[in-house]
Amino acid sequence: MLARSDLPLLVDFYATWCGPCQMMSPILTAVQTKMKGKLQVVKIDTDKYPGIASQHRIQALPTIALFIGGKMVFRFEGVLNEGQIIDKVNYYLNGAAAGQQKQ
Amino acid sequence: MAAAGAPAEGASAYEYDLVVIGGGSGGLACAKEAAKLGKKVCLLDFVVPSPAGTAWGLGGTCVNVGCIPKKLMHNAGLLGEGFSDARGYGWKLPEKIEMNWEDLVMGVQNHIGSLNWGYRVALREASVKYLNAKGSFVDAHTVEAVERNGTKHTLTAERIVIAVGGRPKYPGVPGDKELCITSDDIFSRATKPGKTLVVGASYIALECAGFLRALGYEVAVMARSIFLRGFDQEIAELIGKDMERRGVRMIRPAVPTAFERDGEQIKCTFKNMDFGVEMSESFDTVLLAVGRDACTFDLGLDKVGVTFDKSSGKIPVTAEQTNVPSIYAIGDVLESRQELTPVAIKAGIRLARRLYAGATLQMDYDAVPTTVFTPLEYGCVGYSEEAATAKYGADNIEVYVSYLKPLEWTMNHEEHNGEPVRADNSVFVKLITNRADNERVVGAHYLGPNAGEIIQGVAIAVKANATKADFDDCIGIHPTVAEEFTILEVTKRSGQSALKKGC
Repeated sequence: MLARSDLPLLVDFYATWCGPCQMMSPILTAVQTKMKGKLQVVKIDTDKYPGIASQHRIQALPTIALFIGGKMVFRFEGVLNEGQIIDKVNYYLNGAAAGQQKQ
Repeated sequence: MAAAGAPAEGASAYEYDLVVIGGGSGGLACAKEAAKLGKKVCLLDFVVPSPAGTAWGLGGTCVNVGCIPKKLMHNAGLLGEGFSDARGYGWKLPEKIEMNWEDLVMGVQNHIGSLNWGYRVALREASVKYLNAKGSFVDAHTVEAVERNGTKHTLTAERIVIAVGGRPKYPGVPGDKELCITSDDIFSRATKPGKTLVVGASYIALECAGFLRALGYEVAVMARSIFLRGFDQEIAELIGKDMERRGVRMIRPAVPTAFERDGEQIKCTFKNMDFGVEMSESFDTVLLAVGRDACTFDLGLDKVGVTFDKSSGKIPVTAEQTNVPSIYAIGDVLESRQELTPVAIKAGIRLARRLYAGATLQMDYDAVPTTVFTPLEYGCVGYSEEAATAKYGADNIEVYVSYLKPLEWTMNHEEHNGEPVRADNSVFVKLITNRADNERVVGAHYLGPNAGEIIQGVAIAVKANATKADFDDCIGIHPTVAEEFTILEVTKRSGQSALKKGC
């Protein structure tokens, strides 16, 4: 799923027992709304899907990771606010676009 | 990954260097250490749900249904006690402060979830293969592991470590498994316990009864005879009295004979051991804490010829090796060894180092400090007075005692919501020395707040063979209760009273 997505994916690795993860929930909803059409936000419960978490070597929760074209370009452990996430995502989306233009 | 001492070329006869059965304190420590030393390790962990249906994740008893949730709930109780103290210091707290059981359980379970996660990450980072599967022996070098969905794995290993731990026993009376819970269930119980009967006299029984009472529930303890068998009995009795002062009802000597439904409650029929009379009473919750059996009965030990006790399930070992050379055991499964997390961890690490790093250091099971986290905590290291008397003879031991009250308690004049819970001489210190060996300290006991923290330091001195003179030479830190250890004077032999007088 991560490899096949057309849209860039913002993945939130979380767990139900993780307090800070609950804080990220409304933040990510706001990010999805603001970046609709440009970004797909996906939440992965690491207790339900330990294999995926393991594959991406997730150490601490929450971990936010940005995938463009199936590749992880950015990852962050901990809580980020809405502004910080949108800034980071735009930086990488613009970088990817610029990179494509050069080619 | 090559390691010192590994065969230079050619495949090993076995898929793994080491298979560890059991992902608790001992198993995890041993597996990680072996992997750190370059070995190929597989760890199996599987939790058979309790009769009440409770199961849990990686980490073993301590993390999920033992030390960790116990200490958190004990602390919740202490915090409740603190409100009364706070008023004494001038804090204007409301008279009735509510306690929400569901919030407490959620907080505790969330923390446990983070520990389960942390262990999974640690195993992955250490390159230990982890299978959530139940292991059993096929032969001395082969283990079959079955996952919950039935998937089977056959693992071959040069060596196998049994670290399967223990689970609560049931008394074997009608209704016990159907209606009662154990320590396996209490820490994740969805609904508040209400009026609770705790059956047992072990530290598990008293600690659970203690925090449940501190959280505000009506609690009774049913014990067949003495409290805390194996611990210093003078202090065991003081703990019992302290719990009674806090409102825990002691039903003893008595044993339960049957449990049955009584509407929403559970009716316990029990026999008074003194008079042989049967009585009954109903409770919202019955928590059984009547002992623990080792989880070795379905391991296939008979198949591979490993000797074990047929009634307790425990395994006798020498230097943690069973009678079968390729099979080892650590932790709660061991016969005659302390059932404590730090003991299992240290034994597991030292075993891995002896097997794979050429180390010679054996595990030292002597003078292991421990603490019972009853509302009034009890920390100790070394011999109880009974054990010291048996080993050295009454003439050869000197027993120093002292009673006191912490300074911090003196501001609380309402005496904990109007009940005289804290007697003036609640805190008790006992030091036992060997007169035939320069008054070497052979036992140190402390009954009072922060017992674990205090006894840890004293235990280091005892392990370093300190004498009474060493304790007396050390200046006390003032004002603390621990400083009493540096100024002990009154001996039992002198016949003097060690009680502090005055208001």
